[in-house]
Amino acid sequence: MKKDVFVALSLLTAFLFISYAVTVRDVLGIAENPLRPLGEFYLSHAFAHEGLTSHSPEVVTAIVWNYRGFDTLFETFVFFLAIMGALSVLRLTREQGMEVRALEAREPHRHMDTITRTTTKLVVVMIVSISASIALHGHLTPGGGFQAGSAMAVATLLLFAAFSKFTLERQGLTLRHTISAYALGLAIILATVIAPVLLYGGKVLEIDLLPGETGLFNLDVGEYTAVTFGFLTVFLALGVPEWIFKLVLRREVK
Amino acid sequence: MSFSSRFSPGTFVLVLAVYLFYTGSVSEYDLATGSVVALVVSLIVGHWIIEDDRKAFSPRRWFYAVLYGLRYFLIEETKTHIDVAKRVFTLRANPGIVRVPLEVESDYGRVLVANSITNTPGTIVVDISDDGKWLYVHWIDVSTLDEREVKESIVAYFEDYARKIFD
Repeated sequence: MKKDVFVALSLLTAFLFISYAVTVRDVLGIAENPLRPLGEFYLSHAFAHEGLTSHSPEVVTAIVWNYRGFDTLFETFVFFLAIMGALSVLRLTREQGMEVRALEAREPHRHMDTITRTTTKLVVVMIVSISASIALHGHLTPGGGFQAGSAMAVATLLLFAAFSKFTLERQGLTLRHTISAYALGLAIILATVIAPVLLYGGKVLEIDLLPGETGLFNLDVGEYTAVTFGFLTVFLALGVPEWIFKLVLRREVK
Repeated sequence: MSFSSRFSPGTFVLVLAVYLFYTGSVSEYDLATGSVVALVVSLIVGHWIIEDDRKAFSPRRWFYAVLYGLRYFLIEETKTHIDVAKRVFTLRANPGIVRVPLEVESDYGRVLVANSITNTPGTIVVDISDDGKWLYVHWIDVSTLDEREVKESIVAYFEDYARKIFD
């Protein structure tokens, strides 16, 4: 208890000291120089009619998907590799998958009480709507594909917690569907990235050649789909109860 | 499953309203994308959140919902806040868990009553029975154990409104 108070007080002191040093004493020298040349370039070019523009009033999305687009593109690939890694570690053959489903079907159907379920239902539908808004409006207001996909992942997690993984699977949502949807999202991203080369003879990721905001919009929607279903894939793969997983892997079930 | 049995206008309006509210603008682009999203979502979830769309569009139910909101947040909340604030200073508390019978039929009605109880200071719903007929409420001042009186002082008028809005 005393240790907690000590830690809290020292964190508070450090926070106050750093804030004082940065704002009042200006040790980093950022107070006199509110806008650096690079920042000014982005702000004046992100939404312009000519030059190196992304046609987007949302500078953060413009930077993320255009000015440093390769970074985001490779991040998407890293995410892809992570999910493929998780899937290959947790992979099951077709027969093993069927055994898992048979064992899971034998388990009693458990979910939380009425209050939690009813509230979750409403909240999940609202989160889905909000995440779509974050994604589809990502090139106009703060937001974007990855943020929206993460919000969607929260919605699916809530469903897992309040209802159960089986509730989703009984509605016909299987690993195969989520992987296909994930691939679709990646395909949208790749198509948008390569389109400038094939259609306009530009460079890879030179999306300002595409008409208006199409480039950023497509990338946001693609990333939204990819992240949503990427997370969902991992959740479904990890959601298999451990004892069932081990039992099937060790072939102790006939 | 046919389109009309699957599509729920209530869900469509709910999703579109949340979309526009969150986006914060009502341009053609927002209306178009919002409608597409709302259509897809309402086709996927069907009648999962709204079982009877006529109820969702009934002006009488909405009138009672608004009335309940005003009465609950302006009167009941203030009263119980003052009561609990007094208890904080006088340290008069007699906490315990009581069982309250529920007479609301619909899930949303039960949730409205339960969350109203939890949201008023001094009372928290700990659990609901599986058949939804009993609430277990932690109460800061267990003054009586008689079911009727307990219900009178905890649930107050919540249930009447819950029935008028959702049943």
